[in-house]
Amino acid sequence: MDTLYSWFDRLVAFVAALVRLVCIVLATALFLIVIAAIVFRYGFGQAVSWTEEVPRYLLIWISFLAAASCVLRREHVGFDVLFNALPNRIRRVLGTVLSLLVFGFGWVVFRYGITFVQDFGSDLMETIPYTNYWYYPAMPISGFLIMLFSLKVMIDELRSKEAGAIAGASVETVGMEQRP
Amino acid sequence: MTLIVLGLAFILLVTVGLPISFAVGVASVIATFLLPGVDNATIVQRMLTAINTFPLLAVIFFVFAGVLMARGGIARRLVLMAEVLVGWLPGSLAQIVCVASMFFGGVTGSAVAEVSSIGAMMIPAMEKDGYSRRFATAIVLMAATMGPIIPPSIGMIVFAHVAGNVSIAALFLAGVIPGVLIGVSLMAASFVHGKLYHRKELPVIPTRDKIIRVIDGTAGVFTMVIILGGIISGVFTATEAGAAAAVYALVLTVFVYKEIKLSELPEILWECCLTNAVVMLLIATCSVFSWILTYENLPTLLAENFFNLIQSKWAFLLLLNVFLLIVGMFIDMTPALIMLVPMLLPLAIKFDINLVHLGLIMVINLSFGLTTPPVGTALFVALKVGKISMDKLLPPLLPLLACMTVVLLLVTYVPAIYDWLPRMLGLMK
Repeated sequence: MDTLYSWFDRLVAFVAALVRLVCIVLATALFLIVIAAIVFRYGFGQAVSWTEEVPRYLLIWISFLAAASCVLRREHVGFDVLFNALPNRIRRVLGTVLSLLVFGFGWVVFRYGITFVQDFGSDLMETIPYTNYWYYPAMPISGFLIMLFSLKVMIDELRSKEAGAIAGASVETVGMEQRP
Repeated sequence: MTLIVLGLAFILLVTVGLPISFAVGVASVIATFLLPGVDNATIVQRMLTAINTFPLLAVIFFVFAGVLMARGGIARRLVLMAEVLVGWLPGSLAQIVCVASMFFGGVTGSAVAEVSSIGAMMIPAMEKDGYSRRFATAIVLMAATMGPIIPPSIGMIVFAHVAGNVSIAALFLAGVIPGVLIGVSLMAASFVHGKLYHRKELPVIPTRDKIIRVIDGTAGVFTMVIILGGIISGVFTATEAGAAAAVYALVLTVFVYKEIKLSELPEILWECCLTNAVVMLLIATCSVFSWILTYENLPTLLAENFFNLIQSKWAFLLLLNVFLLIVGMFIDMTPALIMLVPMLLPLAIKFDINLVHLGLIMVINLSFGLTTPPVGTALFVALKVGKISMDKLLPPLLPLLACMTVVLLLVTYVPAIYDWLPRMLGLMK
């Protein structure tokens, strides 16, 4: 059981690192495109048509991928005061139940995300000759990652002695623990 | 009936600790079982289209610029500059906190970053200079409320998106004078505190140092000039202004101040992605929920029935403030904005309240909420930084809160305070 868990742990760590890398690359691209659009408009006097559209799709990818990571990092904003005041035993059960709900929502996004991609993915984008297959899959993939990561949180809850809240306190504190 | 079930399910789930975005998502999925015409594929589609807009990109850029500035040692420089500007006033160190926080609000817009960076520096310094620690913590905390009110402000971007058809530029400008007024009211309180309890004067700074400090600090404050100047003159959209501010912050902190290494940038970008994702998922799931509510006609029902009891605009504004202060005590600013705006919009229209005014009132109340017990993120950080317990902090907090409530009432009932600047620049009719 422990070996199985450690393999699962490694898998999750690998996927999380991959998501992080993809997000950083996409965010860099997003930043550069928007800057380039300004430079082109004022420097060369010509607006490039797709510089409004492509950043939007990048934002969708970044947002839904990183949103799944926030499940793993327990940073989605919520109200954790009552939860933290409960006795540890109840917290463990409650934490697992809540993670199950997150898992369930991930399943809905995954399952119906696939339907959504199948039904509308072949439509064309607005300014460039590509189909929506390039960004609609962000939804089912995010749904899948939410399922994976909430499963990890759930297992951690069951295994740990001291149960922790699955929600963060505020948008402003996201990523704070890592800050020096 | 269905709506009551949904509402109760949502409130229960949030109370026991499910993140708000997922509580909203789960409640929406329940709705698909209960309501005809709503199906799960629609949920996914609406989540995606909700954030498929260019103006929302401003969030990640302003977060990026803010994090760079906060990490790049801007707080120390602003404090040094503020010492030159107001260090000679009674209550000198408290005055410095107020002015440095005002500038900091114009650079990052985050109350929490403000408390942790200015607080870490100023609370020990104030204690050493003879102030009580609880007053020092209280003034740092209260000054931090200026963060989300003085532009740039993530809250305002989110409001403009959810309300639709509101200019981010007008909202940003509307926040300037109320934000500065809060600063001034806190400076007045510091003045009184200084006169009463603390008469020590700070050592004189040589003129050469003064000039260096002001130049150093102004370089940071120039971010605000780029943002506001760019938006007002029409050179940038709000999103582009965010990107430009981020470029400026990048150059300043990496190459001029040299406080951030290039190798740290990926981690900083990742943090911005995470913050952005929390906001975006909230917007995505809440847009599904508010679509269901609109489908069920709830906002109009509320506007037509429940609030018929209130007749005058003045009474409504008062109730609005009280309601928002209470909400702010329990819920974080961003989710509160995203959830409440769709409900309040029809009411604001009914009472003929300008949407910029509504947005400003919401942002000010909810940033007070960051500092008020029982739940306030800025408050918790302040307690940690000041190493003080909540009951000790409350007494000095109350007079400062009273000062700020005066500003809130002024903004609520004297429209000229907020709309003079955007009107003068032609951003509001």
